[in-house]
Amino acid sequence: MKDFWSFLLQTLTVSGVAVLVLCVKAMFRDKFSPRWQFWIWGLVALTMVVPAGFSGRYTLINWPLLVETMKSYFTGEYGTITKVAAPIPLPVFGELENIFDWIYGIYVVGVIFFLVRYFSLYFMLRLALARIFKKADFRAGKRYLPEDVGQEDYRVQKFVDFVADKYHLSSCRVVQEEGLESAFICGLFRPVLVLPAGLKTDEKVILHELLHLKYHDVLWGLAICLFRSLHWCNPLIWACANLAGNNLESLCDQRVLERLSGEERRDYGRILLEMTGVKYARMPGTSSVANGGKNIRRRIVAITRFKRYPAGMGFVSGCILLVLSVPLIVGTKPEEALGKSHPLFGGDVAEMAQARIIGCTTIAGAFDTYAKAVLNRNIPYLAICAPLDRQEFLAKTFLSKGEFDSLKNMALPVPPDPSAGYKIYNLNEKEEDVFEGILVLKLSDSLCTEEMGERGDVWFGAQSVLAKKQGDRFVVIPQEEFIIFEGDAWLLRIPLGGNELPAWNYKAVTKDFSFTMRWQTAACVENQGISDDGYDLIPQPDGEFTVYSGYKVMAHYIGKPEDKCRYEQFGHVGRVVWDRTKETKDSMKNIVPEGIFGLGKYEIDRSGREPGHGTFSGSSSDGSSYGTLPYGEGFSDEFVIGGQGGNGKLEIPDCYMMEIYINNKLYADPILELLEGSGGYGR
Amino acid sequence: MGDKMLQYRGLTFAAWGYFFLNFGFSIDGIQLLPEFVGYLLLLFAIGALFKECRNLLLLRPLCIVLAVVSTLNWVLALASRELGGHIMILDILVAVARLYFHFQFLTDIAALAKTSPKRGEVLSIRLRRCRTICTMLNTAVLAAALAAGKQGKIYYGAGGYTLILISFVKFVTTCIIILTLFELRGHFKRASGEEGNRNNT
Repeated sequence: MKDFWSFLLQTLTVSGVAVLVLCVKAMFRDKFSPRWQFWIWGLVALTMVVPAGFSGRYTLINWPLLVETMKSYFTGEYGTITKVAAPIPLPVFGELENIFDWIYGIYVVGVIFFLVRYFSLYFMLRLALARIFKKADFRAGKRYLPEDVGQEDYRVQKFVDFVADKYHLSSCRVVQEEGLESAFICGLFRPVLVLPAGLKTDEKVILHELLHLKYHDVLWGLAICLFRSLHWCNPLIWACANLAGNNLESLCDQRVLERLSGEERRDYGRILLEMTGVKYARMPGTSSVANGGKNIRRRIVAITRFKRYPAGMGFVSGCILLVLSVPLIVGTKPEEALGKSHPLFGGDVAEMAQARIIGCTTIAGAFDTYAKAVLNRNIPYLAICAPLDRQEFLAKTFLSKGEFDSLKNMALPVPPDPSAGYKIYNLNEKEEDVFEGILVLKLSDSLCTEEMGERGDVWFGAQSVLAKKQGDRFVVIPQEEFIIFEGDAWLLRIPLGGNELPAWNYKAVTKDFSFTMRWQTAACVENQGISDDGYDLIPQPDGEFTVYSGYKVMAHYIGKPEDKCRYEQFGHVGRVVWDRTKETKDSMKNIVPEGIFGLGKYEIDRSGREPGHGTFSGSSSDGSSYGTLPYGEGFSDEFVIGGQGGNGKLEIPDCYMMEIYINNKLYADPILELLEGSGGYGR
Repeated sequence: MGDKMLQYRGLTFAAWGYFFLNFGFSIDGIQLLPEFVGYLLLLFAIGALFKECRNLLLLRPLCIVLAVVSTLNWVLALASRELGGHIMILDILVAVARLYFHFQFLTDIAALAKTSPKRGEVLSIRLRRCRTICTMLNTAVLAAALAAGKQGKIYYGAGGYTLILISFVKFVTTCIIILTLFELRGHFKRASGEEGNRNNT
């Protein structure tokens, strides 16, 4: 935790879990044993040691939204996201700029104060105990002779050893102190059993303390002190720490009762009753049989329920712990609430805060969110995928009810048609986690202006965009204004290498012909059919792309016009090649399937065809295409000879290999190479 | 009223309670065999059987809570709304209460079944096994729903083929539980009749 907001997030998260645990404990107070009642505190402890908001998820309640909303509301800060780096306060060096920095400073001082207080109390106690020894030697388990420690101390030590042997427990060094009212164990690594001097301590009390020793309850006491210090200003956590301590004592009572029988158990209850008047001060590093009058009364009630808890509930208690721990360990993604107004935190400030904390976890999600922001003209959606340095500007525009079109690079002559969706054309990875592409949207038909053309024309907007990783979220940065153009409706379905948009260009030149191929990809997160209303306009910040690719091959006549008449029949076979080093001389075989119009391989038929009926072509999913054209009287200088579109991948082909047949003879086998600088606007 | 007659009445309530809880049909989203009726019947069962099995008294508060939640759900369903999915802590508490309630209730009925005049041990084992299977399946579905983040669907779990399989197994075990309860009820009814005849003579 580095500031007030991260501490607030951490302590609120722990408080939410504490409330759940308290409710569950109340529900099962008379149904599950003290053992279960103590160990369920482990869920709270687990939440305390894991940074809140870990991996972008929240626990039980969307506290990050509350904290971000409060931060924005009170400080006007929109350009940062509260993160908890560690569940303990970390040193931060710098000036205290506002009241929240001062509050955090007071919190840190408080943590240090409580830690120092607890540890100094412990050390003072150990020093006091050290003075009791005739020899300052704290080795646990060492047996002392009467002349070493005195007859009385020797007798008490022997009695404690006897009790330990009787119940098969480990013993420890015993000291007697004047003025004490109850026994306690002190220390973790060299524990000492401290007994009231001059009073006969019952065997069952010693059993209680030895059981604390056996199960290292001093360690749990230290952990409780630590958690109490870290959240000293949270009264709920303070109360939970007290309860956990009492549950620890009740658990030890249960362990004692399991080793006693009949009248001994009743005696144990009577002994506890006698201790209700004993004063008790929580001391770190110790565990005591007496923990205050009110707590002892509760423990006696628990003792009366010993063996009366429903039997056979071990299995279901484990199931309940599993069900409770899943949401604490797994958490909930904040984008679960995307598109819905929060039941508790409403308002524009909260909406912008929610957008900021959701974040996009994938490149595809970032592009999808950006596209839907533009489709919906929605500023909070834009904030989800905007860089942090742009958040403040977006927030101010949104809060002042500014227009979406007033934002930089967002202006369009008419709104887009949301139902038509979007495509990201020619997605290209520039470097690791940096992608660029062209966002293509269809403009709304009904609002096309006279300047744009007659109604019925299909108009599109295209914009170069860049997506990159910023911290643990992906952001999108528009590179330029939208370019408006007229096109075919197929643009938003399958790319076909058309001229409306940039493409990767490949070229080869032969004697009288040059050949070009235009390769395009189009990607989007699938949104059609997700909701009953058709196209789903809710962003999917963690979406994955579905990719389509397509190309068009054209021939360009570059020979002399008078030579055109020599060309009567034109045929080609060709294929997209991803890695030419893996291609063989036989690569072009099998491209033309047997039996197509009665043709065999490499045979181009020109007889028996009706004028104007002779063209045929085909393609297959491996990127190959073939075709033949009979030439009538003249042919245009440019004509399409092949192409296809369909499901594809983002990889750019290495080249395009062809075999050209003119007048039924192999004319050339050019390799179309990629031209530099193609693919996007201005590349 | 004799002991056996009281047990018969209690088991009648329990059997019909489980029937209402697990079987029902809806028209336009409105349950015609509401779940809250099942919990009310189970509450009556607890009232009739607690003298035989004192642990059942511990379930009374949980039963009341579950009946109230079911009633609210039924009322809200009339307005096409639901109680769950808004505050996760409440959803979890209700789910956990339901998990424990059914486990302990069936455990206690299984203990009672041992005193059945006929096939007591067999019926008891059958109830305990079905109880364990149902608890395991419910825990798995709950944990999966919570892990997937389907906040509003804790009551009903997530979809998928696995859930279909789980639902089928749960359906079969629930049917076995209900049939066992009715069989147990029959044994106690006969026993109460014999008890009554003995008292008359």
